[in-house]
Amino acid sequence: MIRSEMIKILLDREFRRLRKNPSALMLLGLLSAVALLMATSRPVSKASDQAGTNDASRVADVWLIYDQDSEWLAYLKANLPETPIVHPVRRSSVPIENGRLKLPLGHGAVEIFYEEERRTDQVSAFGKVTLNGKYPGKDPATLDPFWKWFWSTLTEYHTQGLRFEQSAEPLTNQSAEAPASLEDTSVADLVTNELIATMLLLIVMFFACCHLLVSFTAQDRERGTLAALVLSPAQTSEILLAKFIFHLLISLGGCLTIVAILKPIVLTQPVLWLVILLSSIGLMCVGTCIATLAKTQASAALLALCYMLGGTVLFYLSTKFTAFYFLKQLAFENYTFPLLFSTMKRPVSVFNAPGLGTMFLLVGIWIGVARSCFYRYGWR
Amino acid sequence: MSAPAIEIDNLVVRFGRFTAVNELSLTVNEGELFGFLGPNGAGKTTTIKVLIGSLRPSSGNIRVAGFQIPAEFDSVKQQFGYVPDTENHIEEFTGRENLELFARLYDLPLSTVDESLALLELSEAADVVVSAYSKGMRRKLLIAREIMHRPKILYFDEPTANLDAHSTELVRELLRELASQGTTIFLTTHNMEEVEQICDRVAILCRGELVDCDTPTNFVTRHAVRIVKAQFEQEGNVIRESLDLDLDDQRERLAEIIRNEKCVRVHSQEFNFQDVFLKITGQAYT
Repeated sequence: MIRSEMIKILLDREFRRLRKNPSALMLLGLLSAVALLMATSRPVSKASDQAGTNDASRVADVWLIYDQDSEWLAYLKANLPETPIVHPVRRSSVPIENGRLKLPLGHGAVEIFYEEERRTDQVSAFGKVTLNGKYPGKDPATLDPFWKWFWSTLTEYHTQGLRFEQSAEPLTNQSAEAPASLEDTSVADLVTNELIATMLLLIVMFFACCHLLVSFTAQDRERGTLAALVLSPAQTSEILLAKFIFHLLISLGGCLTIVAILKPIVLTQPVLWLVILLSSIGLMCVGTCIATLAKTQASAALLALCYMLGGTVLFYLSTKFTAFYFLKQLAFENYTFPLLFSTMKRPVSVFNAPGLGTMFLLVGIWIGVARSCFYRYGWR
Repeated sequence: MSAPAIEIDNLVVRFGRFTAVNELSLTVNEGELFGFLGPNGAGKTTTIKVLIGSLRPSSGNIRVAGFQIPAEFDSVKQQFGYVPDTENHIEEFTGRENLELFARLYDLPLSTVDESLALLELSEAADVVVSAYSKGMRRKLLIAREIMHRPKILYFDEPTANLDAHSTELVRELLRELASQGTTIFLTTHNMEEVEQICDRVAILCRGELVDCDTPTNFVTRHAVRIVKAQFEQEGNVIRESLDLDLDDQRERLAEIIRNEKCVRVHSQEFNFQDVFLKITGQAYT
């Protein structure tokens, strides 16, 4: 039977030890600082982020060059932005020298090539649009403000249903030759915070529940402290439980700090905490097995690193080979990232959270394995 | 000394093909100060590890304080204390904090911490972090920790290793006192003088097998050699002779030397436990 008094004494011992080793929590402080800086800073544009420049380096004038009129082009012309200044012109009106556009210095241009195709099985024709962006210097991000306006206006046009029903494919898929970073400018700003927050949560959980647990437990084992505790009236299960509670509290505290700083609105989401709890327990079980099987603290730390790298390699290979894909399904971490990420983006119901049940099952198996490992070899 | 505190019956411990302890059987009585000797690698520490439940035996029956080991490990562990050969303190804690943790685990009043520290003359260093302790101080702190809960059985692996002369005497006195109060003490040591001085009974283990088990007095009686070494002058030369008093002719020879020669030195050879130990274990090796 687990005695709460024993757990309290053992927890107190863990916290006192941590207090005497404050450097152990340095990474958590660092991650919190990252989150704090992210939350208090204004997101910068990709252009200035990449090139270290400011708004002045963005193209102020963009020439929108087209060959023929169309409904969507008319819609664009009717909704020109204030910045950058867009000049819609027919190709025939643009001066060309040696086969190259001759534009004023510092101006950008986007050429629209419209190819009409006719399918025999369809009554109406549909078009393939190719966009070709030209910009001064070497930084394609200087056209970002233009693309932002272009895609949002085009999306607006389509959502109004003017031509949507007749379009065979979504327009975004037809812009294969458009300059890179189209998606970056339109979507990245929306997901970056959620993505980074999810990554930070994963790091916090891995650090608190796997790395720190492995380090502390292996140190206890190597010094013989664990054996001394097991030989005291404290039961093995109480020692293990106290360790789990201690590391879980650190993990939850770290995650709470990150989420509270970056996205406090999701703090009330039960799925978020359920996923954090399950992942933390799973990682602690993995850490316990590593600390149990390793002979020294150094080899335990190395094993923990190998586990992390091995997981990363597995996840990468799962996108290339089916065998690894199926193997990935057996890792509870496979469900952690998507669940956390979707929780960050929008409310997710506990009953509709994909993979939560499987995660429960996998973590349950890990608990059994870790318990058995610790009982058999943990302190011996 | 009445009921057996430790009963080992046909204990076998194997590591793969290597047999560390082979069919060891012995009984240690309550309140007995039992010395467990053997050369390096004889299987002493392995036996202690089995007794404390840290190692599962390959076969054999072990009862400690009436409990079966390892089956009743949780029940028996509160009955004993174990002082290992290497310190296992929490380095970041002070001496007092280390003892306080264990006092709380054993549900002892915190006053026992001060008592134990005082007993081992560590009161002054009580609030110093263990990482700053000398080897001797660490050793004494370990002993203080393990006697704090007044266990029925105490396992000591090299109790006086790294201790100065004063501390060695302090610990030996403590062991005698604990034994007189009824604590069974099972110690392993390489210090033969210590064995002779404090142990009630001694078992000698060699290559995992029990070679001999008796009281130190009986060891003296059984293994003492009655040899006299005589040194005398004869025609200007110094001559040395060793004479066995168990042989009639050599006894007569000794009388003749004393009567006729100019003796410089005549002395009997003292009993030496170390010699006996080497003889016994040496025989076992041959």
